[in-house]
Amino acid sequence: MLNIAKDALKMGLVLLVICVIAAGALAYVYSVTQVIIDKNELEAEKKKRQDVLTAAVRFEEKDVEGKKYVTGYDTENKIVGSIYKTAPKGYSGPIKITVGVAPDNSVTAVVITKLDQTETPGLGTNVTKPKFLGQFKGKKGNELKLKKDSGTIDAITAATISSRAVSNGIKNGWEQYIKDMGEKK
Amino acid sequence: MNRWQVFTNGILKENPVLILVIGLCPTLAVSGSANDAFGMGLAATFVLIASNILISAVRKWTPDQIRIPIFIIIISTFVTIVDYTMHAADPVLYANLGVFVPLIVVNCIILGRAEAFAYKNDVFSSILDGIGMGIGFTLTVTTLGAVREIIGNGTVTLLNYELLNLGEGFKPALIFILPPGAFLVMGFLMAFNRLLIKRKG
Repeated sequence: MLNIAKDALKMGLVLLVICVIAAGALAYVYSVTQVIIDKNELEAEKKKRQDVLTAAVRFEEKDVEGKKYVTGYDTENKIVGSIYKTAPKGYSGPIKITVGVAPDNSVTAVVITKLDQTETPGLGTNVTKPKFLGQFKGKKGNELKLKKDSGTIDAITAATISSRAVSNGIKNGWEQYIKDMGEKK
Repeated sequence: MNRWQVFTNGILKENPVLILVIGLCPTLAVSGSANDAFGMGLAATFVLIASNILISAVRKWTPDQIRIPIFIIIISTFVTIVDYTMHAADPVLYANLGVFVPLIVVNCIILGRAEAFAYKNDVFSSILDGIGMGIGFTLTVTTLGAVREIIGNGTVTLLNYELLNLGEGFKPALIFILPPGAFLVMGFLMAFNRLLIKRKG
């Protein structure tokens, strides 16, 4: 009886020691890497803003109707456009899209990085390519839909679901943006 | 079994993927490109070597009844370290490997080697075993990834450099970068490995 208790105590102690060492090691690694991870994400975010509004030199965040919009200003402090984000459901998960809109409400540029999506490699991932995303430039409203859905955007061959998710996501986000901005004005 | 045999065992004769047929889940899932496969191979190799060392080092104090929980704690600690480090060092690779990095914890190769080798052998042999098995795994998944990527996408990328690009004119057979392609190519690799072993006698 005593032996069983002694064994159990020993097992518990060994497990405890190992867990404490493991937890300590992890806490240290976390504190070092988390700083770098946060920095990387911030830089990626900055780069995306710059990519959709190339003329902007200064960005300002503001909340409209509980949603976050970013407005970009140029060197003369004139508004060059706003940015909205949307994340429609793609073929295998949400696709995070960053869209820039000019003051005349047309789309300036759309950015989806490789990190923003989890589509099928070689097929759905082509939505991140400029060949597809470049089509949205200068368009607004129903033009933002696929040709198959009576819009003006060419879908990617064999990746209609991903293409449609992106174009509908951009269009719905655009309508929401116009509505939110209209209410504010 | 001498030290050299311990080391080479994992590469050909007891290749974890092609002969023991364990660790298939990451092998099939992340071998869509050579780059991702290589990253996965490196991550698993690091965890394998580190956990082999530690498990071998503490084997004398490990009570037999709770060895599996102890293995899992040690393995998952190293996996989490790899997870954080990869997220910080290469976000694109991290995103591509996704859930398969945390899943290294339950990779049968690592737990299998802990139980079958490191728990019964000294630290030095365990390091050799870890390196050998790691090389075997990395070679296999990278080859698998490279073959699938050439046929299925017309490119080979390694360490984020494009080594080969068959150009726009090449019509890729998409099935090879989709899941069924992994099974097809793996079958051929297995046959090839058996042939090599047979030749050697």
